[in-house]
Amino acid sequence: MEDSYRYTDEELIGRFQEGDEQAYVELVKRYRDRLMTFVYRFVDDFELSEDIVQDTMLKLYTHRHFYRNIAKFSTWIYTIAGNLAKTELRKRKRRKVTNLSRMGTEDREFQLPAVQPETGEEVQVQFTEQQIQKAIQALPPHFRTVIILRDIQELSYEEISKIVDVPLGTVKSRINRARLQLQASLKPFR
Amino acid sequence: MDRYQFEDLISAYIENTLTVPQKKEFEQRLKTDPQLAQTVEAVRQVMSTLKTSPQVKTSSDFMLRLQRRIARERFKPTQSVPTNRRPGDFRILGFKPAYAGLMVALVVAVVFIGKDLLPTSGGVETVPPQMTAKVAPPPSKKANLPTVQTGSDLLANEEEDSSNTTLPTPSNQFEDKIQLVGNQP
Repeated sequence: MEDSYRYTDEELIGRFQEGDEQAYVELVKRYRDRLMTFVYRFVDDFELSEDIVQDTMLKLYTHRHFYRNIAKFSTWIYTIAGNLAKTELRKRKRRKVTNLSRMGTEDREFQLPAVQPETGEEVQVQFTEQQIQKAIQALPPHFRTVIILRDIQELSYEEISKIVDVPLGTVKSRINRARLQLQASLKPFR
Repeated sequence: MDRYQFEDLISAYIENTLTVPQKKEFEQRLKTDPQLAQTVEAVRQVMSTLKTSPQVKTSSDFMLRLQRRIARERFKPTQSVPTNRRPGDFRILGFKPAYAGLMVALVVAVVFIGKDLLPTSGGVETVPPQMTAKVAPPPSKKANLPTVQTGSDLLANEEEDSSNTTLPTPSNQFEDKIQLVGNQP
């Protein structure tokens, strides 16, 4: 499928539903890094994020006939990834309650999957990146999801409303609140 | 509008979705409230930083691992344990839970009632003497012999037999009968 970029996501999933496995590969290629960014920003664990994205892609494969061409494909796939991430987060929270007493504070340090910085500028970028990730993690999950989808993934308010299944007004309000919280927590680093 | 109401409009102001009168009012407020202006600028910065934050990439073996998982999924049986069991068909040792509970309660009740019926100590005092009577031993070989027994032999046998039981037997009654038989012409 050399000219796969001619096809929209909806056309690709349609072809995949008809048995074209190459269309599936193309969808995975299009979405794996986007979903990885979304999930990583949400759960803050690289390996866990990759597992969740794998699970999402596997679900896309096994549940392909569940997709109906009434919604955007991106909305559907983000909903799957978001639900899996939320489930994992809940599981991890339960585990954390039992394990936290055995951990030192240094074990809870933020882990960055990026390469080691070489220049002073890179160090600064990485530091800012760490602070942003920390600030995002400090947000409540329902604020975290919408701010990632809006400001990092650049999805429309309507799409976000469908993904998180809350009214448009609530989404707008949550995004505004999340931004205000982020600016407040990042104030010391400005 | 108070400060919090203005804060609610920050995103809409930055994204330029306020109505013209709202925008006018907001900008008026920005001129008089430097703290609000500072917050608006900070939110704008946060949005810009998030937008330019690097994309997190999956590892190089992502596709390979996914292909393996899909292959495993393909060979997985669609339904490993075929079952027509409905949620209400749950059984404990073949019984419905209600009946199983009833059976357990019945067994427990029988055990407790049975325990109360059993003697608490000794047992001899509470049980009637008839029930504690020793069983007479089987008759000896000698007794089975077809011999003519005299009155004194019979008496002796009777005395032996009577000694094996606790039943009170007046011995003189036998003596009388024996004598009567013996006195017959």
